[in-house]
Amino acid sequence: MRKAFLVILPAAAPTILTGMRISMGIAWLVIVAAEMLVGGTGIGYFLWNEWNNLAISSVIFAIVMIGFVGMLLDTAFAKLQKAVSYAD
Amino acid sequence: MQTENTFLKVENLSKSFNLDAPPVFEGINFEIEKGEFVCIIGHSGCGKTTILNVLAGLEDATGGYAYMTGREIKGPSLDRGVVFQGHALMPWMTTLQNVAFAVKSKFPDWSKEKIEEHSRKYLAMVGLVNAENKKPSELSGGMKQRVGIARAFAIEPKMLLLDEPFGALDALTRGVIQDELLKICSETQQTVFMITHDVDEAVLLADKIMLMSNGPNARIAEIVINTLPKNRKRASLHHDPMYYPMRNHLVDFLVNRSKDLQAKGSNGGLEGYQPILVCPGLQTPVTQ
Repeated sequence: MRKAFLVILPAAAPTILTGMRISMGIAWLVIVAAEMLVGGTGIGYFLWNEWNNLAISSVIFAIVMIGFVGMLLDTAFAKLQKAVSYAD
Repeated sequence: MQTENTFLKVENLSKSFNLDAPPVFEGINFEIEKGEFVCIIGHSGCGKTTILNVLAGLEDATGGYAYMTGREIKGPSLDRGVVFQGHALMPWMTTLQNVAFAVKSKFPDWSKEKIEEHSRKYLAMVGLVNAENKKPSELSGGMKQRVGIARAFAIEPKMLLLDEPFGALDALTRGVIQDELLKICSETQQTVFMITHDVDEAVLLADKIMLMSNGPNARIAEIVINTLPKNRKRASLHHDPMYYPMRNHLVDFLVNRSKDLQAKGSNGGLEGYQPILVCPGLQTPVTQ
């Protein structure tokens, strides 16, 4: 247990977080796209709905929000990554 | 031979990484007494590090056995401290934490204060009290190596294994740490097995120097007893009358004779070969 938490986890943490950061980007992309197709909830559905309502300003707003949230998530992971990384 | 009395005993050790290829080394037999400082010299590729790894329990030999205090070496143990060529410290821990981690592994029931106090004692021994809260990346090469040495000493091992500990250091730092190592070893009567490429280092530190022939099919060709007086100093070493016979013998071996055994070994001409025992500068070689 001591070995797992004091040696293996700290050694692997930077690579674990790199993986999480990359897959988080993909996940966000796929969630929005899936919401457009399935519908019912979420910003993807909102975007599709407003497009059908011909409310272009809402569409633009939704696009900007998708980008903004994505950026926010990525920055959060970058901070976390920096906190656990070490200099060799 | 009595196994009970010998501290470390290696029997017929061999290793091959690829079953089709000839073994890197074979028929390695030697014994180390308690409190002895043994150096092993040989050209690169003769399996020095592999022998050390087998003794440390980090690697398995293909054939043969190694015993320490009568028990077979299987897997790493806290009775043997290893100092690696490239420090091998944990970069996310401070110097003190690195040493304390090893101490905690050896003495799990000690209190936190006792562990820190013990670790500090060994850091002070290598002159690093002021660097105890620094990460390895903030230390110089020599300091990292000293942390590695402190960590190995801190677990108070029965035997210390040094794998070219000074290989990555500059000549000045190397001298300083050699002196420290010599001082610590004479104080604690530590048994040490050390790999080196530096003939002078071997002459200065070792009581017994094992010379390995070239690999593959490497053997321990000779065991040289250091004929220089016990309290050797780096400053006065080269004035000793025994120094040059000793040094010349070692260099002669490395330059001229190290290839001889390899040719014989590859066609099986070395069955049951025993290393020659030599005391350079004293008398004619004694065959064991």
